[in-house]
Amino acid sequence: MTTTRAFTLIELMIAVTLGGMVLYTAFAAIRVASNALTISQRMATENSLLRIGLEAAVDEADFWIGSDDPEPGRPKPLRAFDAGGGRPFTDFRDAGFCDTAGSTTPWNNENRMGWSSSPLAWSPSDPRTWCRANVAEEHSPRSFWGNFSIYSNIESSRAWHTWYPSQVRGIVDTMGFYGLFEYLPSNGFAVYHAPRVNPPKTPKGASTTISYGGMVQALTANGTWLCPTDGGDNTMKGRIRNTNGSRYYLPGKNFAAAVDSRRLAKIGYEARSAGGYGTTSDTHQVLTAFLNETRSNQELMRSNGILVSPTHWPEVTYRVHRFIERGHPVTLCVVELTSPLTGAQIALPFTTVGTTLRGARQQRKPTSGWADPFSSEPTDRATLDYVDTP
Amino acid sequence: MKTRGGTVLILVSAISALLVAMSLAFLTRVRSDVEEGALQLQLAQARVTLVAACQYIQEASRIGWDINGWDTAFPSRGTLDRTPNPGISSEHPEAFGWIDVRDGTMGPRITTMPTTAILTPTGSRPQDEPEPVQTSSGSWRFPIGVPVRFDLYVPQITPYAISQRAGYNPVSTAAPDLGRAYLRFPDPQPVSRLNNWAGTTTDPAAGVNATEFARWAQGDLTPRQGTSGRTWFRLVREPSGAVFTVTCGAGGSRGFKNWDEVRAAGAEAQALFNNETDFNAIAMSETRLWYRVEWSAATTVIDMNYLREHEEFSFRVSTPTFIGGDPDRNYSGQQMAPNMGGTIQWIQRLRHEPAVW
Repeated sequence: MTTTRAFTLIELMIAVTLGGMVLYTAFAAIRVASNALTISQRMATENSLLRIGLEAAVDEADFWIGSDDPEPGRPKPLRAFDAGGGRPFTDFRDAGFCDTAGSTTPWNNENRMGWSSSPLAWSPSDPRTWCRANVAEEHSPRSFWGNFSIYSNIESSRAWHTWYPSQVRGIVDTMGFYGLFEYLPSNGFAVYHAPRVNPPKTPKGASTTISYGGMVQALTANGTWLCPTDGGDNTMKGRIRNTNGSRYYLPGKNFAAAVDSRRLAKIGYEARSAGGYGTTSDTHQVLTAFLNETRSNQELMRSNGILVSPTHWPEVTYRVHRFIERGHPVTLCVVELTSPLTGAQIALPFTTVGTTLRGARQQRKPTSGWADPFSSEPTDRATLDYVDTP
Repeated sequence: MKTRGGTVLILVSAISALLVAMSLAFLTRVRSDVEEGALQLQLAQARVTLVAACQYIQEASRIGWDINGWDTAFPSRGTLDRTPNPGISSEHPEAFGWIDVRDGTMGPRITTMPTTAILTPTGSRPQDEPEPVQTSSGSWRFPIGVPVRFDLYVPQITPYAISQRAGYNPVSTAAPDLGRAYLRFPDPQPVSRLNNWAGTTTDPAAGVNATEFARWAQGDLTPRQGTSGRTWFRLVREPSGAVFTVTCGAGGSRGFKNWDEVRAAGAEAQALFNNETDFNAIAMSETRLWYRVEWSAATTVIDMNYLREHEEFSFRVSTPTFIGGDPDRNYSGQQMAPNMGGTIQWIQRLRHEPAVW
């Protein structure tokens, strides 16, 4: 009989302990690797979604679909009217800003009243483009620097130069102030002279008061229709002065329908001095309201409000805000990611240079559809930016 | 023992294989992320290049466009073999806008040039205007209807480079001008590498001779490492004079549209890409964006900081020294200062690749 030497208890215990340690280490390694892989997958998913959000925001910055979807049947809220005047995507025809001079009238005639998009028509070499308004005149009787209304007046029987006043009024009537300060050259003034007759040719929805010097008061007086309250200067202004403490902004989808979207938003200095939104002067509330009312976006991971992606995926949204601040058009894009697991949020805000309002109007046909600037078909080349015929 | 050893080997191999598989998956995912991120980088680069193109349009409105070194038969050849000649003083004479602000003629034009009228609009759209008035680049004016290529890179030293050093002491430290300000090292100074300028009151031109000056004027256009082959833009000027189709590219094609253009540009251009297959591979991996923009002669606002009347009888027209706005107020000089190159009136992203770009 042979005997086989068995493990001693000590040997067995050591062997089991060592085996356990080896197994624990192996499983720990696998678990760490597995966790790393899971985290990398999650981060990759987040990164991919953020990239999609970024591309969507950049597309929105260039094509403005969240503000005006050119496809037939899609929302076009900014082609409506407020207080008699149009919103930023209103057709010049609908606002009555059309050229009725006829084809025999020279292109640079003062009486061509409709919008002219040609660069040549806005060249400083053309005397029609000269403002000739009284830069020193206040909205109150301050015409002692001269009566400029005899040089330039929206009423052709009062003065030889009528083109520039007609352009200012027509642009304001069609698009409001955001459009006015993009369509005018950067050195353009938002004012013109008009006669004190009833009804005076003031912008639609504005006060009909005309100063004694003949200027439209709604375009000059502090705290009125066009102008911010700060500054103490009740004179004609350009776009930097008017947007120093305030912003002209593009209304978003959350904009209150009852409010005249052509007016200016008041944030910052204006909120302190003039109440801003409602009666609050709290900066946070003012900014929150501003961002809410200027938000432009489309659904990214939802369809009619219902989440269409896996519920454990992070949700990415984007929004684009457009406003004119101190004379400069700003396109502010924000991409946001929210984790359903942790509630953590990531926000990527950035500004970009892209399609401007006038560029966006040139992308669109008058009724619906996308325009093609190089098409041989006139109907495909027609845009919201020009009016050949009423 | 052999059976036990085999089991251990199988276990170790399986665990190792599992770890390797997971590591590979991790690395692959990271690599994929990086590649996807590169596309975002190209998109961002192309959009930045749009700004560069707009700035070129603004600057060229006043200083014209580079004539020397351009192949008049092939404008898309661009500045490939451009050899700046600082001795030609007429290369950048002052001009007055893409549409001349003095008389509405085609620009950029210097005073000694004959005028060419922009054909008057027949409709209200810039693109409705008549046929191009000139279609070749063999002119002192920027061609119309013909693509022009701009390859971008960072040169070692730009022509007429100004030093960023701000530590010069402009106050004379020796007799006879001891303590008098602004009599030595006038600001700005040329970059020191190309200039030995050591001007003093008694000898303002010390250290500078014609050769040194020429070197400073010419700069060093050798591309800095890692900056070439990244981005480019192309312009096509429309007949209306101030509207351009801008193509912004991020990638290595140097702005050549196709292999035919590369061949037309000559052997030097072909050497950049080896052959047509390689060029096409590079071109297909690029990001290209198409825009239309319009230049305007308007430079800045005429606003209260220029024409002030806060007190009734203190109306005054601001002087050039006031151009920057009040330094103690929230109007920054950058916003208020005229840029002398005009402004971009509007920008339109094109949905499709145009036929001519």
